[in-house]
Amino acid sequence: MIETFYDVMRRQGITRRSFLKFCSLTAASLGLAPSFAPRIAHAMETKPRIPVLWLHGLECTCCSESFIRSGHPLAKDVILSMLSLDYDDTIMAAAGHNAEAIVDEIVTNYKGNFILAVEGNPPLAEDGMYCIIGGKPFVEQLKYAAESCKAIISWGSCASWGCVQAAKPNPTRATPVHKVPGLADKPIIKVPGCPPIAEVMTAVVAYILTFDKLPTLDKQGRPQMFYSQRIHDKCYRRPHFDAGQFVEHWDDEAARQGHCLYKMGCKGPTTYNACSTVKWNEGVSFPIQSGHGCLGCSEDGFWDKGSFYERLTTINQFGIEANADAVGGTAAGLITAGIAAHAGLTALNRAKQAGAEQL
Amino acid sequence: MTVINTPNGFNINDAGRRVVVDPVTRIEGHMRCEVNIDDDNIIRNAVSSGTMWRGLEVILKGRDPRDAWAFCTTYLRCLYRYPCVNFGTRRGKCVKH
Repeated sequence: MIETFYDVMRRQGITRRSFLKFCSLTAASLGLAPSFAPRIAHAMETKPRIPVLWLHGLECTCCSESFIRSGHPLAKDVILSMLSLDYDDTIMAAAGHNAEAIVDEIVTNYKGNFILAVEGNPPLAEDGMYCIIGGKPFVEQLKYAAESCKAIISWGSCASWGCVQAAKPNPTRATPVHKVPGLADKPIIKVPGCPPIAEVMTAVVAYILTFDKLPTLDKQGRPQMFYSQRIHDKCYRRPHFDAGQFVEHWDDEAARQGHCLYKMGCKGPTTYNACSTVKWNEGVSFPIQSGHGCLGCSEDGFWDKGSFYERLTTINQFGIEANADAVGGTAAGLITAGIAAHAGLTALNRAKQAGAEQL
Repeated sequence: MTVINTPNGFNINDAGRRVVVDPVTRIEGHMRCEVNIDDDNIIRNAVSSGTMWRGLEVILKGRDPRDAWAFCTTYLRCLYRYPCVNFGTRRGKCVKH
């Protein structure tokens, strides 16, 4: 019998009051009504923890780094206990063949009942030889575990979209999880971001545990509750964008005043993520607040959409349905029309004046 | 004794007792260690290798130098992106001026 989440918390000396506080915070971060807090608490008190295999492919471990820094003070004990995190080579005690044996154990003992969390992605070039774990290509380990899992969580942009190693010319043929040929057909939740926000990661897990189902996904396979809003729409610098107040140089007065970073290449207008609402490091800040534009790291292909410092020219502006080119084109047209009208009027006036002189 | 030469000038052999640890855990990334131990439990040969390659050097070629930080900080994100933002902006100035 696996312990429940609540048992683990009590064993670690966490009070019931703190436990309930955690449940309400989780409900809030999931965008649920406060009445859902008891439901989350009930689930955590009664349901066994979910065994999780957390595999690492081509990656930089930033997803793990983000996850263990989840803003809530209990995260280090709680979130890691909520999942029975049986295999994660960055933080597990076992090494070598002992570690690999755990994969077999989970696959055999929890067939169809464990969650496969994938951080990073498999390279397919050279038969997967660019990422070897325990003497075998990572892609084989991934396929083997995916065969018997309940669902796959693609942590981060690597597993979701490919990320920097899939950037042109993609020398290792790094391939996101959902595009790996021959992978078992299992539900995949993409939690993109480089890394994803810690609270988003923990909330996704809390949701699965509480409701025994996967969160509602958008058409790209991301949890709708966190990826349905543009960073731009909730950005605290948005008024400056609407007012046409832009930073033009990193050290100009506008930069000091905290104006909009759109002209410095901010990708907020095309990026769907919760950075501008949930923020990072316990809600302290997020890239735009620290004075640097958004890279758009949670969007597919962000690594190959031109420089991070080139400004976007395809977005709608001034609250109307037109992009920069259209606005420029219209403006040019209006100006031309104005010049023509002005020239016409001048000619008319001159003619009048000429007529008056003749009289 | 079988000896395999590695591309960087070391050799892996099967002398004594051979211990292979793969994966080495509690580190960032992927690593394999192979050591040979003699009868007195002294390590006589040791070879370690990083078992992951993403080719970021290849990917960086031909890109805007201002973007380099976003790619190469993913070598090891324990060092994290945020300190690099300053590097990015400074580099931005160098390109412009």
